[in-house]
Amino acid sequence: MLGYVIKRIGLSFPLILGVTVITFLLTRVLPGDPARTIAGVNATNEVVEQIRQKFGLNQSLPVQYFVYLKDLFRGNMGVSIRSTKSVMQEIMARFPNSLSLVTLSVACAAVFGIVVGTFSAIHHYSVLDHIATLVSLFGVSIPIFWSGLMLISLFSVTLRWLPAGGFGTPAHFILPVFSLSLYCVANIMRVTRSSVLDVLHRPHVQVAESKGLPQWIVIYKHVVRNALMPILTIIGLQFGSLLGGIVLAETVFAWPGLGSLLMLSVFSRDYPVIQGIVLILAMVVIATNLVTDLAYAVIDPRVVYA
Amino acid sequence: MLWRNVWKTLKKSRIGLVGLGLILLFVLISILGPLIALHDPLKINLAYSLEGPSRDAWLGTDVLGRDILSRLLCGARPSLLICFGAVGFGMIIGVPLGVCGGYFRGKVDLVIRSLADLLLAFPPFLLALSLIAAIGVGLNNVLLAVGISTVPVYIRLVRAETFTIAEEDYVTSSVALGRSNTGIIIAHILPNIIPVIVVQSTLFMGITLLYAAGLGFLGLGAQQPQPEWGAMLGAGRNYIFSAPQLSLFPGLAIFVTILGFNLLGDALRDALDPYQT
Repeated sequence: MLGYVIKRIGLSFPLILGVTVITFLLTRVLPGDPARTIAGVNATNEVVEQIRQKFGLNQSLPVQYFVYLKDLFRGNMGVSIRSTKSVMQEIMARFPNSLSLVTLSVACAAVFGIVVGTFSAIHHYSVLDHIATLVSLFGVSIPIFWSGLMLISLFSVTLRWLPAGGFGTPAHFILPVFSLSLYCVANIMRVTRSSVLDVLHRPHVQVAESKGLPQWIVIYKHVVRNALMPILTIIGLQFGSLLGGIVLAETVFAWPGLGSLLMLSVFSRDYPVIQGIVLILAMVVIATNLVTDLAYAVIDPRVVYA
Repeated sequence: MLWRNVWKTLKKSRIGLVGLGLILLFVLISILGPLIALHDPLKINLAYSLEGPSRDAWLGTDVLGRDILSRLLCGARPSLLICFGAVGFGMIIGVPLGVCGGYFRGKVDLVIRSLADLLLAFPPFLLALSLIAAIGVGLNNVLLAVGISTVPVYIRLVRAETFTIAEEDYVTSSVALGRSNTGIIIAHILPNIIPVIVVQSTLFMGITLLYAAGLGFLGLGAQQPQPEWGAMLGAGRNYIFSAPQLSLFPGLAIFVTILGFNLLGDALRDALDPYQT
């Protein structure tokens, strides 16, 4: 087990290295001269040349990459062009806000999706199963940015129950969490349904039922636990997908997280910050996949890793 | 043969038919939209700014007095071009790579698989958005960026499917008979991976539309004054307090179209893969 954990963690390093290559190249495929982009449109040639010297842009690409990597290793992601603060500082100030939003949304979607999905599977082809399937197809089709706006229009403008945006109190969480989890609950529900259906007809479940165990024990101990692996996979995937979705949700709800910072940086062409945010979010995805893989080994003792 | 059976199953699925109907409507509107629009979608008339639905402008007008319905009808075409274009692009790049990885295995597979894993480390919408940040805004760039974000999923899916099919006896016999790799891929692999590609592509149409509309909403897609659903929604956002119809209708159009693709994709999945519960 420990060997597997170490090996699995080790496998993430090439991936992280690959991600840094991509984030590095991201700012180098820019049309035109990156030094001029950093300096701004009205800068004189001398200023551009100074910046080229300062950022090492006159060196070859591999050299620039190693400088970038060396800085990253020291936790230095450069300086924001917009605010002149360090990128690390900017990101860390907002990262917890985004992480709490996404985690809460995925947790809500997971609880709801697993409960309804299990129910759907047990009452296979019942009216409620059909309704749940249909509702989930609707949910996955609603753009986050539209559901967000409609929720604001209803609950903030018309009913005046909840704040339209911003951050601070628990009430601020309700609308963004609702619209984000609406989007990802469908997939969790669908995977739960098909995976529970699959386990439901296995012999060990029939044995448990014929022993006369109460139904909820059969469902909880013998069915859901065995159906958990695909469910865990989809939860991990949804987490990653929402990390992209926060850009939209945070823009709609004026949420002070990485998503809104990213949009701010895109419009002010603040490439060091864009680079930093993309890197951080990709690392979170890699970490999520790692945790999912390790959780397999914990919940399923049958899994043997060579 | 396969397709006749698919059609038979699909005909029985009400959900699938509704989805197909919505998609046909969407395609029809994007072809005929500019012809049936009552007003010029670009015509600015400040005297009619932010009007509610009326007999002349059924869905009301936007801040510049432009007819929302006409803009919606004309905005279908860019959305359609992006989602078909992006899915087509993802397919053209992803499917051959996936087939090569799954069929040739070994080092080729390692390289292709690593590429897919690397791209999958980025949340897909974030990948598309950061590509736009690098290459610039505009509809063509949205198509490219969203297309690239679908590539790793195609690779992974097609690779796994090819991997399984390449183990089948009929493939082994063809190898034994001395058939060339190209011959085997064309005769045995491709026909068998088409069903999963069709299902995934249908679902991807909805997803790419969603991403493209999201980028448009953020102001990174179509630029003013061109009508595009996501951009219209983004422009309506500022008037959510006074004129919610500005965001209601474009969003509804996006939602219904994505729903069409998801309903059809769901039904196709059932029809093409009857063993999956």
